[in-house]
Amino acid sequence: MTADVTVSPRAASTGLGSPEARGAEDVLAGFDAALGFGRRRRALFVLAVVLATSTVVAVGLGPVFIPPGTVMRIVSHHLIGVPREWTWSVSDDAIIWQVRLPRVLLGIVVGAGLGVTGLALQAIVRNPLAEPYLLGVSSGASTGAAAAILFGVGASFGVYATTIVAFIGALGAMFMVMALAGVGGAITPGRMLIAGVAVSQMLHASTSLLVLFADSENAATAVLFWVLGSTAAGEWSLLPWATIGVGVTTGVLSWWRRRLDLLALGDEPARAMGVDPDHTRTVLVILIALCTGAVVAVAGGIGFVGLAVPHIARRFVGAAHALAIPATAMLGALLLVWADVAARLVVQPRELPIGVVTAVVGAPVLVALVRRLHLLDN
Amino acid sequence: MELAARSLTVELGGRVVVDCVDLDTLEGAVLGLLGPNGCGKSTVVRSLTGSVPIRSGTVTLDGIDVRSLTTREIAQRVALVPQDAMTVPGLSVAEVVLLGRTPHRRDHQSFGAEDRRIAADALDTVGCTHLAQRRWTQLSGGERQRVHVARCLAQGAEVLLLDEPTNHLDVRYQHEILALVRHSGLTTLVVLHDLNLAAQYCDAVALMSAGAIRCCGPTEAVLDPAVLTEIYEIDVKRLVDGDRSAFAFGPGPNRAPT
Repeated sequence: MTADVTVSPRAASTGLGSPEARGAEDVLAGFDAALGFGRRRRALFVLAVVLATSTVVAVGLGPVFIPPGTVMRIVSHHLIGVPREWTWSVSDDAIIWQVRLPRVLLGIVVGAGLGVTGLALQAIVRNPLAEPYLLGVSSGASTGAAAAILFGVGASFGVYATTIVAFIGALGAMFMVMALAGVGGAITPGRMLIAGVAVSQMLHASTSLLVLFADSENAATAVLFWVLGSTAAGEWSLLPWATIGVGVTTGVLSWWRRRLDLLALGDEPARAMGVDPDHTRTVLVILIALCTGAVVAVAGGIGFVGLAVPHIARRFVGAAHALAIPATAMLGALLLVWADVAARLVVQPRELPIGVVTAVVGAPVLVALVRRLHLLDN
Repeated sequence: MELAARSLTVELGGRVVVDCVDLDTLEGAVLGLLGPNGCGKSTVVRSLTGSVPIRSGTVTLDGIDVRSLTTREIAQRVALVPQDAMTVPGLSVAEVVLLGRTPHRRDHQSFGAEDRRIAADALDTVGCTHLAQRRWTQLSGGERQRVHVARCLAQGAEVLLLDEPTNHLDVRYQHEILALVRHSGLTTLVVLHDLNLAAQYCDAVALMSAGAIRCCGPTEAVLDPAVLTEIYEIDVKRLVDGDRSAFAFGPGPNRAPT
């Protein structure tokens, strides 16, 4: 064929079909260098060390400062029964073990949860602006929380009424979004975005209406504070539920890390590489909504973490989910640990809603990010 | 490995888009699928990969009905270069090519040295080793298509489907990508618009119009000016200069507008 005659010489010069020109080992070494696993794993390790150190330091920070060494001794005493040496006061013990540690741990769980669900949703709907609240769960949780705070809905649940009713609200919102997105066939990314926005707006309106009808300024402030988010309610009894939700979700996402990569590539390539996109998306969306619902029910609607953290994490370890998932989890946790420190230190003796802190930190990051996306496009 | 469709019929939104199509790929050769816009070429390819449900008829791989195979089993045998350019936030070329190994690993299995070697060789085969570290968004159209082919090679499939791979490419890259596919020795089905490209690179051609195959056979026989004039409704003439030939079109539609 004439084609072979005309095209081959140039093809050869660009390296077509000439694997023997270089050693096979060189080719593999160059490929591995491009993947950069070693460098990226080191970044993960550094992140883990920073997070562990931050946790210890952050537990000591607050209206009463307790040095990291004492924190370590108190925690190891409670955790693994290291004998008590009475080098710390009873009040320090209570502050660390009863108040700050569960609060900081809750921040870690919530930050990790919001981060990984945001990361996964950005891949699932193929939109860099996706975040966990896209599924309407935070709006549903807010409506539930407002109903509980203002009208005593679910009072029979006792002190956990707000948390439980908020979770129920989150589930309700999720079912509405899934039902709307599933109208007329499979749940596609486009339908999900529209359904999420519609349900969120509707529930926002409902929450506002509840606040207006309640006609009580204190109660309205309580709802506002809840909606902005806080880990101040962190106590040992809430921790297991949020931890299970976030742990299971992170586990499943890690198990399906390559499916997330493929979903990000598109439905057709995903299917051609052996992954059923519709099935994977449906399972993941339900899981993510449950996890987000659990997180929001415990900590309120903390913003920007699920949106900004995945982008920062990808910058450190690349976009492949095998490493992006642990990196996002740790970075989200790190952000919330320090945002919570700021929330309890900046306007002492009052507390800032942590959502305000994450927004103050997150918004500039987002702006920088949009700038960078713009630069990449050109 | 042979991919074959028998009486393939596809309905989209109540309209029959593909009507009783029979198609056979040729072992180790390139089959071109041609036809006017909207004639159902892409839908045929989509139904072959299972992206679009089949209303009736069968698709077989070496005689086995694909409906008895899982998505993963099909992916081990058939690879696709999709029509739409994928937009991937931040994945590098090396990562995209490595993902081609997905059908050969279970969810819990990590990619090992063997996968990386196969992916590295595939990238080398298409001459794009120097792009390994680049992000997908930083590639030109021609580079993307070559990386796609590398990913398909890494996938280890014996059948390669390409849906208009020359879209948006300039002349040089159009020829480069098709030469690459031809040299790969894979059983190939390629959807093309350009009749001259088809004439140069396809061993056989199927001509579609209005959802049905009108004509199928060796390239020389099917890409006949008389046949093309009838299907595309435009005057087609073959120009010959030494050992090269090309189709020339015009002067306009051979049927007066009604």
